[in-house]
Amino acid sequence: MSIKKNVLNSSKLVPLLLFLVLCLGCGLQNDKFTDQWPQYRGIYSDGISNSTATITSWIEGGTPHQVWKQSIGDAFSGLTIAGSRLITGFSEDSTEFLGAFDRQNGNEIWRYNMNKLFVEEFGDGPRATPAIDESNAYMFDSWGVMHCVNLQTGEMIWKNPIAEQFKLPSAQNRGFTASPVILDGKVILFASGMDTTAFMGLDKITGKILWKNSNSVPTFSSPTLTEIHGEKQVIFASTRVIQVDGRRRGVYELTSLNAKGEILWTGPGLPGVITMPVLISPNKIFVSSQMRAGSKALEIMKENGVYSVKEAWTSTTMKNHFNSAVHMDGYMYGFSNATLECQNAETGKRLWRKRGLGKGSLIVADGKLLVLSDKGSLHVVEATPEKYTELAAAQVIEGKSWTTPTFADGKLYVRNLEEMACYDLTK
Amino acid sequence: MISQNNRFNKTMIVGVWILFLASMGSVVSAQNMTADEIIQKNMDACGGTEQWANIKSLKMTGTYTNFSDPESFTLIRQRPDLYRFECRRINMLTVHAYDGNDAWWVNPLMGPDHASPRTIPTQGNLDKVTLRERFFEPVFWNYTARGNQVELIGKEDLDGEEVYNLKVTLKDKSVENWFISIETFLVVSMTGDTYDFGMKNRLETFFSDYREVGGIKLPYLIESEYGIRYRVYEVDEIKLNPEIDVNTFRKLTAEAWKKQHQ
Repeated sequence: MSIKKNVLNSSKLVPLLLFLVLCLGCGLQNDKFTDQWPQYRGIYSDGISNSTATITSWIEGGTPHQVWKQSIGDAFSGLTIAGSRLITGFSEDSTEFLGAFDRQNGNEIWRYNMNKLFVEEFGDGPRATPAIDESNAYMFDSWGVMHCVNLQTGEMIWKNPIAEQFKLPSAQNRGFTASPVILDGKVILFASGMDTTAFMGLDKITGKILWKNSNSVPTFSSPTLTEIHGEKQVIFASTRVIQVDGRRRGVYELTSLNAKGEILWTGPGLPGVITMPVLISPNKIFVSSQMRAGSKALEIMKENGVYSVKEAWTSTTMKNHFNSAVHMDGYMYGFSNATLECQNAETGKRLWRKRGLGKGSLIVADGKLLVLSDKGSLHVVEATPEKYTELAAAQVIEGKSWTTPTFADGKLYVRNLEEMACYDLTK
Repeated sequence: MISQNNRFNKTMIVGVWILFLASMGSVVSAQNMTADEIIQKNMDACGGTEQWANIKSLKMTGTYTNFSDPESFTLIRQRPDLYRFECRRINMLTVHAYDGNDAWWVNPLMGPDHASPRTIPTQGNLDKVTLRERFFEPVFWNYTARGNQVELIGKEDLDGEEVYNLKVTLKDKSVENWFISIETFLVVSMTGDTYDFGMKNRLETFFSDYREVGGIKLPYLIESEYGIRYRVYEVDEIKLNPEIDVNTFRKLTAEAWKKQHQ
């Protein structure tokens, strides 16, 4: 799996091990829980689990073993793993919360009151997914307030009303959706806005804004934390506004920043991007749009310390709406609107497609695609460019299910606007 | 995340056509067939031209899914071109209808919470969609007399299924492609243009789960995609030639509508 070869190098193992040690110190880690999923779409923002668990036994027959199922209030927020706990956003009555839940039974451990409830026609509550480090959770609420909360106790460390401070509207007034990432002591955020507020780095200890950069129209897209040419970087898919002959014009871009807020490279993006950029080879980035433009890949080169970018391919297929694609062994798998597609990551050519899963989401675990339909059915699919090959399927949650699943230690965690559930896919 | 659209495309209509077209029961040699021969097989597969001609009205009920939210729907059609599509969206009643002269709708998500002309000043091309939706007959039915032209593009693979690709140029010059299974002669899919918030979008619709009702074969599952729209019609029941109150299609005044639906 090329991406794992790229990312599982020693420079990343060190902080991982450090993280595990620190989690042990916090009492959140034990022998049962060793895999990580510390932010939206997993450890490398790519939807690929680092778990070594095998899910073969379930595929051989029967149904997945449900460990627990719990009611939870409205939110699209994803489920982040913090040792023995799940951290996610939810709502109850008229309030949005960040909460910690026991991975063994789904019981609530603490809840932190973030803000008043955000109400929206497609679903209320928090939209972003929290990111965690060794001791705290960082969450951007629906109203554009950044919160830092103690993982152990649920107590607030700091909060920063980003949107209010810079008078930032959310995209289409549907609430702030971009999930933060953590890099080198900074909480990095896609805040958007016209006054050099698009990309921000906050001191994760104090919440103070250390740097801000560029402009962008309001966005739904979350930044991708990855590593290219040996350098950690955060990649944003933005629409920068410039003035041409007195008129505003949008420039669609991918922009990469380091932890200091310095722009490493900028390349041509796509209009209307909601999903995250995805690393598809050591130096290629994929981006997809819900719009007619479809998808493209950029090749990132670096010579004598200077980056340059060229377009590798463009394609009118693989039009991701709000859930991002994954890359496996040279192929993209993702939802082109409401059709699951496989696309050659070297050429952009569509190889197969499968209807009937709605506006679903997917991740990779044990080398297989774990596809969650928008109605809560789980489909284990072979990651192959040959054809859609379903290995197993089961209804794991009921109702509209737009939140990307989480996988760690052989357990699949899913949620929707009403409930969340845990399945052991190794039994 | 997503923008809401409240306008219906021609999917449903198209769906209903299809429903009535296609099917042939026996698998016939697919070699060197002409467009007319394929269309004849299609009509036969659907139960035959005569059967279709005997249908004066239709009522279809089922589940309509839009943005992953399933809701019940009712579609009522009556010759020559009256229709009414009704469903609930986010717990709000939505109606699209044509009364023989005008298209009207009730669409709280787009503004009007009572029967109103189906026009939005900022959205061009809405009339085009409306005109397409009101057709009662399938696109291939008596197609030459209706001013439609059909050209056989050839055979091709559609997601693993071999199909005939028939290019249909409608009387208004708009172009659609209809894909007919070489095995069953039932319509599998269609593509064409539709309009979303005034912008042209490529529409792709799929038809499956054909069942026999009243001597004709109709699809009970219709899936449609264009842009970020994804709509699924799962049919529970189809009644042919039901008695229909002509007031069903009539646009009520705002006062009458509110009184009736309070």
